[in-house]
Amino acid sequence: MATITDPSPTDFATGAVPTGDQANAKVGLLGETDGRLDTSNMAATTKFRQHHVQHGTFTRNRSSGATANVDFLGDLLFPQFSKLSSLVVAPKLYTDAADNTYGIDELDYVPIPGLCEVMENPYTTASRVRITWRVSMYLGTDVNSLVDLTTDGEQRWNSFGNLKVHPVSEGGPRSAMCYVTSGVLRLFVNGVAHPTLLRRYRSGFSSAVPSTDYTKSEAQNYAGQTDFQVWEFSAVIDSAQVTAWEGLTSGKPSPLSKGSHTVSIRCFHTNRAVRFKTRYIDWTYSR
Amino acid sequence: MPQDQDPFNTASLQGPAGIIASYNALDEESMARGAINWRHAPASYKLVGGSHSAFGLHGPAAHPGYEVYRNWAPVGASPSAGVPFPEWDPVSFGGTVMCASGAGAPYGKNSVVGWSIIAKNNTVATSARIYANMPYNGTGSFDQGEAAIDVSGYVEACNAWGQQGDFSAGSGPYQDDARMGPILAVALRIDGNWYIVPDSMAMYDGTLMVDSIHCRTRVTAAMCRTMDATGVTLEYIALAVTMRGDPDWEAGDARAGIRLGCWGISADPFIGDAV
Repeated sequence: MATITDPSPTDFATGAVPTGDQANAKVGLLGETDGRLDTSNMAATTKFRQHHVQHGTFTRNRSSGATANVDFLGDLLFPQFSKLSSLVVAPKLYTDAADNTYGIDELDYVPIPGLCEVMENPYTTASRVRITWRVSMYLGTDVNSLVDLTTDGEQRWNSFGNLKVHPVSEGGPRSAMCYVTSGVLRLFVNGVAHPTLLRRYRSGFSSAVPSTDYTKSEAQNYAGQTDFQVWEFSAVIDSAQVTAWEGLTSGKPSPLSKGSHTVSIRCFHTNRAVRFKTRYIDWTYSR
Repeated sequence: MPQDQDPFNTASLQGPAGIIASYNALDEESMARGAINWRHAPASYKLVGGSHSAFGLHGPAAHPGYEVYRNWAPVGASPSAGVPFPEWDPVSFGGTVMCASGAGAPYGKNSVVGWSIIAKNNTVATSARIYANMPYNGTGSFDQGEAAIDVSGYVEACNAWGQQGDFSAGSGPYQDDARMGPILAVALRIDGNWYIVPDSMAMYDGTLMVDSIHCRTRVTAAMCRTMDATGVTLEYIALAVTMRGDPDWEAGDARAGIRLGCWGISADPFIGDAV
């Protein structure tokens, strides 16, 4: 460490009246001891290096969002799944045409407008990146309703007043293995899905996303469940989490490497529609 | 971190040696959290190892699913072991909301002490727990209120237990016992004891089904002191959950419960002048 010397130690002695220059010099001296980047007290051979700046000191941040409604229509976005009488989403299993089982990595995820960003990392190796998102949505009923919707049109209710949904099948709601559902929200970076940062949702119990035909889309909710849901989280991704993120270590660049990276929240569902409302995504790189 | 001195206040003015000694007060912990002080950074210095996040799931890896978290507290008993928060009357009994020994911390499902730290299969290794190791007993920027940790957490939640009906058409999906829903909160371990952070509590209605619950808070030294005024070290930060039960909960009723799926907890430490 360089030796810090006060060239004029008596300027501020009791009774002295320092000049402006003397006062400024003193302030400058205090600034140096406070870590200000100044070479006046450094050895001539000292160079300012990357390791002199601690991790987390500098950050770069940007956010984006949207408030307009956007409807994700299952029949349009995921047509190959709309004809299935049932769908089993079982992560880590792979397609078996006989039982309509799809691995969760095999589903067709579509980025949600307002939940996509390009993350620009100016640091050679960032220590971490914090990704924050919040999305709210209305759930629509399932395209795999228990009753043939082609017969009943848009109507969600049968003649007995019962809602035609099967939000969690395959073992029933009491099953400890409740892995069947109708939709997934998932974090992606550089096109690679995070293995566990996902959030499943069901089909709607009410006609929360109305049909264009209101006579067949009456607002009913016998199940006592709200169909308005929110997902929000701040994921801090450091080197340990990159290592654990399958896919990011096998070909796709780490988001902590220098350069531009993509981040998005994507969805898949077999609902007739899911209406995304307010949504927001933010990233902050720390050197 | 030391405050700047007023150079025009002769009473506070120090010579170079005094100034240097003062600014040498920054410790490794402060530096690791982002304080600028290159004079004290050797070329070999690196950020202290550690994780900022814990992400996980329940059920077997091949089929991420849900596990049931239930309270096991008997009805009407006094607040002793096995009778924790949901029916712990703080007016009558006082005390903190949760304080369990580190050795016996309630990880995973089916807690008998009310609050459970979210964990797959009751194991610490797969728990929603982050190592913090921040002292607050007189040294360091965290202690001095110039560093803090922003904590964020979420977990998939699906309400269901007890005598509720099934989810078929038109039936009621919940029962009285579970109607009040879960509370998700941040838990701190200080000197071996766990505490729930009251202002982090996020209370949810019982009509959750294939939904998610969230909470976030800012952990400061001042907050830690409200948990343990004479504590030394904030050791861990975790995500904990409990269930509120119906007030007319009676012996023999099924315990209120919540099924939890995929989860995440992240800690974002930072230095700021006004935490």
